[in-house]
Amino acid sequence: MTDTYAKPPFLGFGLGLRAQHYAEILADNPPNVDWFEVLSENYMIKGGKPLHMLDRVREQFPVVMHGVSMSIASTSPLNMDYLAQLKSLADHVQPRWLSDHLCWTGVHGKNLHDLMPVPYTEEALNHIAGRISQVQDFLGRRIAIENVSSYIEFKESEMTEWEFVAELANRADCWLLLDVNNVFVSGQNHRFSETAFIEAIPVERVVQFHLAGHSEGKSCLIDTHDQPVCDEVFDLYEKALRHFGPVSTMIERDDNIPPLAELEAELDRARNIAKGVLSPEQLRRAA
Amino acid sequence: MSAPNLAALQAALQNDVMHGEQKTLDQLSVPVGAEKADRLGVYQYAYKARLISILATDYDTLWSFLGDQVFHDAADRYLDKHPSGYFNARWVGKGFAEYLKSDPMLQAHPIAAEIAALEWTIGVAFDAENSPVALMEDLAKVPAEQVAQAIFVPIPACTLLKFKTNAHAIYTALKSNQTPPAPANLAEETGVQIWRLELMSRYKKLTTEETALLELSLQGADFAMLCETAAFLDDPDTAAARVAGCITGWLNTGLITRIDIG
Repeated sequence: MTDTYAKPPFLGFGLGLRAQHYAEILADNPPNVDWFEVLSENYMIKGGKPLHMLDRVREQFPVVMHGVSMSIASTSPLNMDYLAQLKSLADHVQPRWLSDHLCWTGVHGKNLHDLMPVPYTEEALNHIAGRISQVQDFLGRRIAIENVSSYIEFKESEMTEWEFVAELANRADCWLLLDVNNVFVSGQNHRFSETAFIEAIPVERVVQFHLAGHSEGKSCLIDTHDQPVCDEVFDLYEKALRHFGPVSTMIERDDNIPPLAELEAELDRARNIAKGVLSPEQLRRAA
Repeated sequence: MSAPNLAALQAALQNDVMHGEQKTLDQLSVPVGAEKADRLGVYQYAYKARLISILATDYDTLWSFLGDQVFHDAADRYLDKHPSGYFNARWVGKGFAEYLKSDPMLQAHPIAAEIAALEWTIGVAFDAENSPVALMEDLAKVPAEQVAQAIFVPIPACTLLKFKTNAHAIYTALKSNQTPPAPANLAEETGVQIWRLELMSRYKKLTTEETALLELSLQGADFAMLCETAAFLDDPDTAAARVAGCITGWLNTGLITRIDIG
């Protein structure tokens, strides 16, 4: 039986599972993808084709679950209905791990369906760490928390985002999903050093990298996930690999979804960067 | 000014995002050269844009029918009146068809609410609960003396909608990239059956008698009750045969999950 609290293994190079690609993924010649990440909420349904396809995919590939609705930083009570459905889905899917975002999505019964940032204060740190512990106890597993892109910060912040993330992981005893694109977007928007962010994150906490594309808005970069990963983010990925060593890496594309072959090509670029940074021995041992 | 606590900050920021206000600007921090209002505006714009995009995906046929501006404005009014309380964005559009019945610009056009209801229900059938499907051989196993008490239980993915307009014809035409007929009221209310067969949602326009029989079966009526209703609606001498024909059709198209004996 899998130890759901132990650090999960390096899975290699993955993609987000998208309905547009079901047929190609399940064809006789499967794609060169080591694992898939599924959006938890897309499968919190009772039956039908999505669950059927997910079951077929997970027969052939390792799967991890990634959610957007935990609202772990919200000051409203944890949504136990959501957590019960998440647990039920995880029991069915048996993911290698599951993750959600360091954000809140709404308070007072409303949901913005967006990943809202928090002030980096001791109050927020205590609040969120306590909730992560509650969630981990309920789910019976460690979860991974992802840094988000943000467009605003708060005057009351008492520490940097990276100090906050590192301390949160230690206090809550959770894993981290480091979104390299989010580090880049927030670094550009708030003019901090992306390298300083990466180097401050404890190596032993990070179980997954996200690579994604963004867009240029009127006043800042916007985390849209509808573009290819840009050169700067691949450069930062290389730095992250040097700092963290082998970490399961995936391309996250949520909109303007291209043919699977295009995403495989992007994933190959990540693979080649990893081969340039990590020794064959490191990759082999990790795998 | 003292720092607000986390709960107060979240409530104020949510209010700004949802209602386009700027009461939290003093609490925000942006780099030199950036405008706080612009940065807050990113969240404000994304809020409505994201939810309207979800509605446009869930109701893409209604969107085609109404056109960009009318659909966008109706979606905007719906979200103002019914902000999402669902944790899963999948359900943001759940109340849209019902809302359209009282939308100030579209309540005079019931065709819009009926197209929306059909489209939403087809979407719900797509990922409704799985269930076994009863076959003709299951019917053959029912002892002859118990047929009158047989209850044909529809699958969980089955829904019956009743329309006063030609929403079904317009939806079908738009889905096949054909020019839809002009909106019209029907001479009598017409049933449309929505269900799932082999992982795909289906829909079918019903006759008056088929509508009554499916509605009764969804309520748990037995074969005898179905025959009584058919006898009331049309020739009593052929009622049992007509009901049997209807049930055969249900069994052959995966509409029945099991046959209970009442």
